[in-house]
Amino acid sequence: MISKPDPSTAGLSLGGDAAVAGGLPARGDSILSRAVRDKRLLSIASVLFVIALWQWGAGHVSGFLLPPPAEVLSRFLDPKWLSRLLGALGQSLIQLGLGFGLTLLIAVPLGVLIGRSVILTRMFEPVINAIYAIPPVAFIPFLIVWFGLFLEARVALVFLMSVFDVLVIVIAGARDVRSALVDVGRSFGASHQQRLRLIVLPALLPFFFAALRVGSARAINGMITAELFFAAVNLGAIMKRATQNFDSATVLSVVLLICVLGLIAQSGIAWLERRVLHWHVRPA
Amino acid sequence: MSTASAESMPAPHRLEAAAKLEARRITKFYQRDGSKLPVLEDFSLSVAELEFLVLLGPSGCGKSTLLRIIDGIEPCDAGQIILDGKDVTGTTGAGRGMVFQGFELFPWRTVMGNVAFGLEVAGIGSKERLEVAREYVNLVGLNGFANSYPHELSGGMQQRVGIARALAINPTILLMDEPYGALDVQTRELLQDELLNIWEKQRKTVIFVTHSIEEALYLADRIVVMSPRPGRIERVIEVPFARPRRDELKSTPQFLDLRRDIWQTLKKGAHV
Amino acid sequence: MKVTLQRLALPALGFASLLLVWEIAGRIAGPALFAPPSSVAVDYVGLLRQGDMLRELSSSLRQMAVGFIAACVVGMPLGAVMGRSAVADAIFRPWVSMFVVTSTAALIPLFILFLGTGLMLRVTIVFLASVWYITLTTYNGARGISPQQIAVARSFSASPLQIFWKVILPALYPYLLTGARIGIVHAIRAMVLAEMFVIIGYGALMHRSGLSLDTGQLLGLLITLMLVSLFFNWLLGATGRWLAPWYDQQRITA
Repeated sequence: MISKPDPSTAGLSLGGDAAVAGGLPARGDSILSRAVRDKRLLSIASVLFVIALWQWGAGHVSGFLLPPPAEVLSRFLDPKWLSRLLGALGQSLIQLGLGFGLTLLIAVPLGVLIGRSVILTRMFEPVINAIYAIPPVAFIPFLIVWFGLFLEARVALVFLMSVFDVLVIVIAGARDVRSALVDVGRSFGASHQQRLRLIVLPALLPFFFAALRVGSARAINGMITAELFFAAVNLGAIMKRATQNFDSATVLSVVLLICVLGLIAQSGIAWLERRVLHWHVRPA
Repeated sequence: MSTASAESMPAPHRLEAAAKLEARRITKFYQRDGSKLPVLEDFSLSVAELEFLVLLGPSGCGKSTLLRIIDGIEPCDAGQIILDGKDVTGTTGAGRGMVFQGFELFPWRTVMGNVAFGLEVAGIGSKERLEVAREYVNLVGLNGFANSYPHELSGGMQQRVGIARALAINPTILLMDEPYGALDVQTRELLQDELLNIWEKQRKTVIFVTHSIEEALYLADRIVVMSPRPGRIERVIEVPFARPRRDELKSTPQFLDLRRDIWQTLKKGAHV
Repeated sequence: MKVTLQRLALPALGFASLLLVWEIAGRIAGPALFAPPSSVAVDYVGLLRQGDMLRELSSSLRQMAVGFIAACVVGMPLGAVMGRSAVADAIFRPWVSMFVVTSTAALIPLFILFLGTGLMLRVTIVFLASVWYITLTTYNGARGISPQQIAVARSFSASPLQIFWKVILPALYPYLLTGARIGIVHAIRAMVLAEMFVIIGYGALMHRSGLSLDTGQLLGLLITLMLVSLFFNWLLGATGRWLAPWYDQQRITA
């Protein structure tokens, strides 16, 4: 669990071209072969195909069970409802920001501290692994007892769900800083503080971004879990009420919103990473 | 700083000059699973001012370890390192500049940033740092690449940056740990000539570690041949070739004879 | 022997300091807020004797296993195919990317509407929570298979099927096992999540302990979950080392 992650693959990135073991041979200039050659077209076609399938399926099954895509889309096009949805999202994002901010504030320095010290790593790595093994949702009854049912509890859950992932990755990264690079620092007479600032922290950046990628996903998870398990508010409240009313279109629209939120977060972090880590050569 | 004349330059006479650097009775053990393996035992060595000394030996004879002890980045179990009369055992920085076999450039810094690193650590202001760094970047012939990142450079170019980085802090003694070991033969030979060129222009005391006999004979004023476990001086050779040295030297009979001779010494001392 | 003792000393110290802090905090806070290890230990024995915990645990795990095995059966081939074929990657990538960023918790109300609150719900949630990670891990492994090794096999005139069995599959072992390890972590999380939402099974036990402010029991239930998680992790790791001893498992956090 605390292991040596390759920061470029940690988390959810799927980027890059896949190797082709035996690709389809070009069969002249038919639409099919052109689609095959332009992979993005294929992806879009795949999504459209499923939506079409969904439309067909919805026609044959009760609207309660499977709302047709048009109905889900109409939710987003209704300005009154859309503003309500986005308003709820905004409120949800507050506890996300607080909780994840707290995680970064605590887990990054702590992770560097533990990772750079062999003694601390050996002392606490097993402990952290053990606590990491407990599903964070299991802490919910505790959080209710300690923090109640409102904002504090929600922030605490977001924190709890993201802190261990970030901690584990930062520790692995801090440990992983090549001792040869630190030796260069020592060779030039750099003090401990200088070595930390000039060598360890820059070397840590790729891992920091990996932690950001994974941690943010877990934090979003925590945000919505909190709104469903504590006193339902914001997006969670919308979902719960819709569930009680058998309004699956609304529920699905909230799910889609969360999906989009996740995609935006990952893209945003990837963009930031490309700009900051332009010097980083990924292992092939 | 003497200019290289067309005439050959004699090897420095060590016997009269006080030693620039002295390693006194260095002892170092490696711990492995409870047992202690001696790497160096009571090893002593002195290096004269402006001398180009080569430590030559097979893998595991402790030459790199000794260099790292001299640099202060590795501790020794006993003994002292005296530089210019001062005890610098266990301390780093202080007049020594090291070039590493694996280049070890900071991937997040440009060439300029890497070369300026030692100056930054020493607290030198940024304008002055950049001026000095640029001087050394030009010295090693990388003026067009000042703002490139290490991953954009070839191995040979990266090592040039490593050399510039070590020289930029104007060290009293330059330590080079098999700097060309990771490079192909052609690049190696080019860099050897470049190193000799730079050394002519910026005379420094150098300790150079290698396992290549040819490299040792080509570069050194004096070769200390080491044998392993524990590391000890097998033989000391005064290199008779005049400077400046040219590539053709490597195929002269005198060179080849000496090379064969040293090889015999190494074979004797090595446990395969 | 001496070395093993040395190696255990520091982690033991770490655990001991944790237990100490916990004990002190627990004494101050009291059993309604944060029962100390001393009373948790007592409660734990009670839990074991009473039998509910183990019974619910085994039934929950059995249901989780269905979802998890389905996730492996689907995810592993899918990841392998995506890794080796750019076409498959283009077709499936949007779905994998979309699902992996969608919180499992958000899916629960949706699938309650589709499937009710019975067995199918829990199996589906466990499946959806773990399959993408298994797929991604296998994908990374399949992408990384050295083309040189395949070239070697081809130079020995191996058929595509032989190449699959003798080169691709063995190269995938560590990734399949890492994927399974990551997958099972998510499977357990999803199982607890679903059960707590619907208030059934093991999750119901925890919910009830929470309601009755019996943190001693609650902590005991948590510790059991922790042990189960660690056990499965160890089991898969040991299986991996037995199957492919030549390969130090590359671990990818996800």
